[in-house]
Amino acid sequence: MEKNRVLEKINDFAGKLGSNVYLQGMSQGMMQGLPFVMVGAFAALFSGLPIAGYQTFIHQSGIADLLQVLVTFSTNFLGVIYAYLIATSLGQLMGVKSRIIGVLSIFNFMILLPLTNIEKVTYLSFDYTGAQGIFTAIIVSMITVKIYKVITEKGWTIKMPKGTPSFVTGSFSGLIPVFIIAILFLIVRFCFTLTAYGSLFAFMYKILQAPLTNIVGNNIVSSVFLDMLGQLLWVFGIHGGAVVNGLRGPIVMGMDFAQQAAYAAGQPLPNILGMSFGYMYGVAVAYPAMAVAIIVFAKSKRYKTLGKVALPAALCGISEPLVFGLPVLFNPIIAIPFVIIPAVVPVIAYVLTYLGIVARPMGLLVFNVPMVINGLMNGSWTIAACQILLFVISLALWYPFIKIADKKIFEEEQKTAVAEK
Amino acid sequence: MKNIVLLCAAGMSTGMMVDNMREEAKKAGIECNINAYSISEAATVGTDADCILLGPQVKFQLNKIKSILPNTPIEAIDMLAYGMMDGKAVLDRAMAIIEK
Repeated sequence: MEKNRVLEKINDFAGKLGSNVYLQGMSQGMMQGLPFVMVGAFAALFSGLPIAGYQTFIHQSGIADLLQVLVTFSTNFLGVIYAYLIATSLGQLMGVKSRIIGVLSIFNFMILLPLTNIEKVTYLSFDYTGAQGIFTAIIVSMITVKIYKVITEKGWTIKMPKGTPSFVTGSFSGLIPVFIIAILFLIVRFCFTLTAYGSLFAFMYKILQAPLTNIVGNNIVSSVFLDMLGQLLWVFGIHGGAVVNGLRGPIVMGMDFAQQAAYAAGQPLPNILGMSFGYMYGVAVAYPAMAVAIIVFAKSKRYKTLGKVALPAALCGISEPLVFGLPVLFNPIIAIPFVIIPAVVPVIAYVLTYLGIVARPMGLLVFNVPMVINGLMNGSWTIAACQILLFVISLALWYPFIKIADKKIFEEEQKTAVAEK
Repeated sequence: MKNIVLLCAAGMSTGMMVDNMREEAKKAGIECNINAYSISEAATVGTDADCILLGPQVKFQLNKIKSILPNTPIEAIDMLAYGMMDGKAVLDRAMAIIEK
């Protein structure tokens, strides 16, 4: 069984990737941050809506300033929020029983932040607390938890005599690890002030985040490639989106946050692509198109029923009924279009956005919200219109494949019907 | 009361499955708790489960979950039953596992 051996190998690999404790902690922590992401995104949306009368109103009434406060402490503060959430998630996964691990991670993150002194007042810039600080937040959380774990496992803590109330023991047990870790981060901070970068943030951004954003995020070729990879994993029954976005999530989310911040500030949007672009023009269109294609084009009972079961889920970007019901797995006539159509069709949206015909999405991450609605929520009716266009194209592309796959099942159904008579 | 736990990547598609299973359980007069969670929560939500079912898309984590919860019967849901969101088939299977 060659098929099974290939499947097992891929399963092993996905299993290793999926159970890597650092990646898990990162994606769990970032998931938990979603409410803050949404608050910031909606505040950005409402402060940036390009309607002249509305803009005058919110600026004169002071609402614009209030909305900006929300954006500042959510979207532009996600580095700090993630530093806490990733550290607590990772701490739980790694069995670090400390209730201060999240705060310690924020503490270390802040230690690394560049400060400016102007006339005896110290200023903390928001430059690196938001989108540009995400990578540092991830690394700081991971290192914080790891070192804390090593120190406590080595037993380098202050031990209290027996009979001390446990909350007293708890607060003392953190003392030595916090001192050691704080000093370590202070040294890191000092070392980076000696470099041309000035801070770990600038270093991480310029060396890692910016190049990765250009290569992985802001590049239609690699975006198509990664989308195909995600779809291909589904063909082997693995949740492809979770695997691929687990790796590129921080990069493309960072792009969306930059997008939101610019939109709220009324500046031109820096990116075309990003996580919201990928979702809106990718699965949000592809899966409903697939389900509708089955309902409309298929004649067999099995496919027709499946299409109806799958459509509501598909509208919310959930593909499982389609993947396992058709099935997509090891079924080339369905698997090939399943890999190619959702990855390639968004290129049309990219070109139309590039040409300025369709507006750039403002980066509102709206998973599980149906197409057209999520398009409108991203700032422009042109996005929604473009989604409808892609939907129609996808439908047409699915037509021949559904016809062929359905024909076989329809014939089988007819045969069993005859046999039963 | 039997406690059936379904796990998938984020607890979303299994959530649909759970709705269908609850409906079937009501029809058949079976008293049970059926809930869906994200697989990352397995250690906390799985401890008092009578049986755990994994969505086929996270089947690759079957062994890992088994090692976390060695005393609970754990199985991946049949692909086709999952695709058709066939609540009856999956519920029957769950009850069969618990009986064993």
